[in-house]
Amino acid sequence: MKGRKLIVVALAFVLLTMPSWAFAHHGLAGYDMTQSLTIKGTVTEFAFINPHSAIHIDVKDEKGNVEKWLVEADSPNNLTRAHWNKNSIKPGEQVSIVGNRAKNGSKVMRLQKVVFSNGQELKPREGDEY
Amino acid sequence: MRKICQRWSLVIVTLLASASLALAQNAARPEADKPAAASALPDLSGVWTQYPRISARSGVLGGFVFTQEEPPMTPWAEAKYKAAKAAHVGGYEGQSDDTTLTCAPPGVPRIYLFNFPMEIMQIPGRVILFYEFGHFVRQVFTDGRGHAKDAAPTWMGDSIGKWEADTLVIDTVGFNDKTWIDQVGHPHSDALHLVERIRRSAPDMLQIDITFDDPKAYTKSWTARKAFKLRPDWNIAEYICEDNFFNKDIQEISK
Repeated sequence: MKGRKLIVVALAFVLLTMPSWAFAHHGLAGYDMTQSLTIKGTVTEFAFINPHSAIHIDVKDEKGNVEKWLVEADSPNNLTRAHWNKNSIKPGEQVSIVGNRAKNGSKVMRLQKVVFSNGQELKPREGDEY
Repeated sequence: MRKICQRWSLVIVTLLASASLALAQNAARPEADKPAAASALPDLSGVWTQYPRISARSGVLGGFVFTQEEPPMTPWAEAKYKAAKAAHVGGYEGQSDDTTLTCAPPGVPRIYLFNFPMEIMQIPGRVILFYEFGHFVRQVFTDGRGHAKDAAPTWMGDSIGKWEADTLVIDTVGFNDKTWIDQVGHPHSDALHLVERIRRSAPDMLQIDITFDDPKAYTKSWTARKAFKLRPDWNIAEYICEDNFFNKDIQEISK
């Protein structure tokens, strides 16, 4: 438990000093920015549209039940500048999503990064680069 | 023989005269891509993005506001600010009342505080500011006209501009009162008078000094500075705010 608390604190520190990929034109206050969450599942849809792209992902819980999660991401305009395109995430792909969960506990997250099954990561920003 | 010579010399002279006239006209006609006045004025054209990038890292509220200190609000403005439910700030009951969440225009100057670039284009008599966010456009008339009289209030305001050495000075009035000054809910009234002084502070940097003058909302005028970086490799992309409206799942998370 102590180790886990440390991870949460470390993550919070990292998140607070990271570029604010999460500060979109709305809704930041609705997400818990103090800790991140990782979910793993199968992409069912990737909506690459304004103002927010969205990744629909089916996550299996411990009992094998499927939970439908929705991950909010940035505008495709900004994602394209970080080298994304409409095919960056394909339905059927197995991915991990690291992000911040909605404060109301719903199965909604704000994207921090996508991790593909081959270990490759996809982030909404290129560090501090424009 | 003489008559023929005279006639031919007349023809030759006429031909030569018209040829030189044609040449003169061609020389005076400007090249298609070069506005005649452009070479005499500073060049602010290009695609510009906020610098530093809009982020909370540069302060508590970072790029969401024009000044990290509270601007000098009147009691009217204080009350409005307290009541505002800004989406980024939280700390209130219920949903945010930020109308840009349902695609109302942010207006000027708030549009500068969205993480999307703008393009400045200079054409004879006007400077066009083309903002990627919402694809909003401002026309700044530099042809010497004054502000429109008794015009309907607008979201982007009525802008006229003049050049002072290397600076474009934009004077804007005629705002409606339907927008916030910034991302956190500081208000303005329809009496807002904005002056933007825009110049290149470096070959690839733009500096905008904005003076806010609104006696109903602020006890005195105040000024803020924002910097922008040139992105020669970017173009303004389409941005249609209502796209999310056609996806009801995304609508849920937009609340």
